[in-house]
Amino acid sequence: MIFYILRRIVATIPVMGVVALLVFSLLYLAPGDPAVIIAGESASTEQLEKMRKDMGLDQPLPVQFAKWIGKVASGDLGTSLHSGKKVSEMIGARVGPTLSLATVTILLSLILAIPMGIFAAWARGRWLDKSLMSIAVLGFSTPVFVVGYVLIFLFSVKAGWFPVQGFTPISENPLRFLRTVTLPAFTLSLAYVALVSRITRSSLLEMLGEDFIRTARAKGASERRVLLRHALRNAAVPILTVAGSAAAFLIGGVVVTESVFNLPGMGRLVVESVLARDYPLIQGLILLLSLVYIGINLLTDILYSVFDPRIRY
Amino acid sequence: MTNEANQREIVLQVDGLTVSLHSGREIVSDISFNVHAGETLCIVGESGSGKSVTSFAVMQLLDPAALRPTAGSIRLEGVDLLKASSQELRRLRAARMSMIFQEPMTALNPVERIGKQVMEVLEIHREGDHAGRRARVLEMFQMVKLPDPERVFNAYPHELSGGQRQRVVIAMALILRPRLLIADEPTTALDVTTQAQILRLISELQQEMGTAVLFITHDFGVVHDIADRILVMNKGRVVEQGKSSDILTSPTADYTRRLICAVPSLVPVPSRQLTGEGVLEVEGMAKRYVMGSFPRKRHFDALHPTDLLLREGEILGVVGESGSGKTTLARCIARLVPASAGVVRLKGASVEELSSAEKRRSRKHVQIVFQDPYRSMNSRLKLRDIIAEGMVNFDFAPAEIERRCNELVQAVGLQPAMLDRYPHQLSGGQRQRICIARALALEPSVLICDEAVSALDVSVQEQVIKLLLDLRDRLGVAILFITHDLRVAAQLCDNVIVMRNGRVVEAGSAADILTHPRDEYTRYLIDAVPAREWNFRERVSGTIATTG
Repeated sequence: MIFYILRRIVATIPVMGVVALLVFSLLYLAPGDPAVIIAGESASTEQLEKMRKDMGLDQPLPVQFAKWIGKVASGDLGTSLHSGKKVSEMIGARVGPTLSLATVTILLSLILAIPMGIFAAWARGRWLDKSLMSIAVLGFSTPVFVVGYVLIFLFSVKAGWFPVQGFTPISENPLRFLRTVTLPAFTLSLAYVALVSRITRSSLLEMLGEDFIRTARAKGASERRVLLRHALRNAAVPILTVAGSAAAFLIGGVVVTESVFNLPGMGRLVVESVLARDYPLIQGLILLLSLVYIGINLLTDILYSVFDPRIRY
Repeated sequence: MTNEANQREIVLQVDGLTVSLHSGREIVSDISFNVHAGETLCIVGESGSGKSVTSFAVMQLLDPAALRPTAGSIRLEGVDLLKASSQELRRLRAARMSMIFQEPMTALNPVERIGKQVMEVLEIHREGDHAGRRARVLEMFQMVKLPDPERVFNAYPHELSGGQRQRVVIAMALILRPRLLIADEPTTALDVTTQAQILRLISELQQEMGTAVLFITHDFGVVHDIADRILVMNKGRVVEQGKSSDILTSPTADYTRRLICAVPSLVPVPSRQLTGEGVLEVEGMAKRYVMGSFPRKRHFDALHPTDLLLREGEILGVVGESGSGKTTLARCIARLVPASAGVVRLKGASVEELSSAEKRRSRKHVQIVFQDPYRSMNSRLKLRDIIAEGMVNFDFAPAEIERRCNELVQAVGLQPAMLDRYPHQLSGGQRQRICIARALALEPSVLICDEAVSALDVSVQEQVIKLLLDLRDRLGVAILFITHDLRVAAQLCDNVIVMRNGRVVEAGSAADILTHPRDEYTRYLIDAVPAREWNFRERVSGTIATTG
């Protein structure tokens, strides 16, 4: 087990290297001279020359890459072109809302979806199954911005239960935090609830056809025991796979949701940095998001082996 | 035995049981039988006879979405199971009636430790506390003769062999000392030597606990060894039932007699003179699998360097238990898995020295028929396309392909009209014929049959064996016949090699090896064959009516 986890961690190192290389090349893949991009079209030749020297752009690429990696490793992601602030500080200020939104969304999705899937599998073919799965299809096929605005209209504007927009950190006021995060998290989670509940149902049903389920019944196990003790853990791997990919996709999803709910998170920072062509900031954001992706995949891999003892690559 | 049994208490009483599909079609019709304490009743029948459905009906484990009992009664110690509530049934299962299954590999929950799974039986039936349960499970593991019970207790199913898993399932079934044990083909998936041990174990525990055993099997050898009474089923109906010795020697029904006669004899057919030239020569073929990764890298030699020679028109049997390397040998020869070492010469030409395009072309000379005809065909292709595929790959003209499809399908005893069907529309035996036709389509000089008759009922098996012998005589094709069944080998093979742990332990003519084995392991294998001294065809009295 320990070896397995260590091997998985070691295996992420080359992936991170490739990501770093791609992020670094971003500046050079974009059309035009990096110095011009950074300094702007109006800069004079001397300014550009000075800029190149300051930033080390006159040195060979491998040297630049090594230096950049060194800086990134020590937490220095450079300075934003637009605001002049440090990129790490800008991201640090925005990461809170996004992280809390993503975490709440994933938790909410799992809490809703897994029981839904279990109930649907238990009531397979009956009305409960059919209605749960219809809800899932609905959740799946409605776009995030539609659900978002409809929920704001119903629960914030009409009922006044939740704020229309804005964010309060959990450290400041946990109750206010919940009020601000509920609607966006629910909006975001709908698609994942649909996805995870369907996969839970179908992998449970697949497991119910297995021989060991028949053995469990022959032992005198109740339907509840058969489902929860025997089928569910065996169904964990496909559920985890989907939940892991969902968590990764979610990071893309927050860009839209944060814009709709006007949350000061990383999703909006991405939009802002791209619009301003703020390359150091874009680099920092991509690097961070990639690390989160890699982290999620690592976690999924490790959880596989927790649920299924046969998995030891 | 029967007189004595009649005086014993009736544990299970099935009366006029009928089980139907929702469409109303009867799968089991009006069957009645009793099982007494301490007695073994064998239900024998071919696939589709309804014997498994009957056993599942007793446990009330039929899938309610597909099958339900529509008439009759099933009484366990007087309690009518068909009228019992689901709560009552749950209380009876494992406690009063238990079941062991055909597939020990899949009968246990793969993600839960063995000990926990067996303890669950006690947990469900509220027996004792945790420490007490643990002690009872370990004691039971000792009773079923599991080596190192503590280790097994903490192991996961995939860490045990098939025989060990079946012992665990038996421990699970008997830990509450039920009155009735239902065994549904419990040894079919096991090697003969393991089968012999498991059968002995079941009968020992039965003696000790006085359990009534309902034993489902298709194997008359097993029946001969363990049954007190026999019930023969065909197409959901009882053909006959009676004392074991009576039915095996003087069955009253033609169907039974035909089944018994289809059991291949262990007495080998007389040796033939082999004059053909060598078509396949294998020298030093070996296969090593490397598993895991640093720091737990291991390797496993599935096949140690092995030589063999196959002549035109020869049938060479490769026998051995699972894990002996016989399938690996076949796959390496067919180049379905790359061998780690060794030379294959086809008609004197070394395959190794060919270019990769020539290697591909040489595939047509070696064709293979697999064990499971249900899974070795693409179910979305018509039979014509399945047979034709190889010929299409080798650029046969369309008219030629059409002609050969018709010829081949007739050569394996089917009608050309069937070519437009899909695999699911055929029976198991018909499918295996199609697989043979497909393998023959490229006119191979070597046909490899990997357990090609093992999944078939004896009556179908008999037909396929005849077909293979006939094809050998007519086409002169050389056959490498992989089997674990020494009876089949005795009827089919000219020469035999016996394998164990990836090595050949003995090789020679089938007649020699099966009658005068020199190697101790070969003797052990032959001893484990159920009812080995019993030549069914000769013992059974009367002749088979020629009609039907």
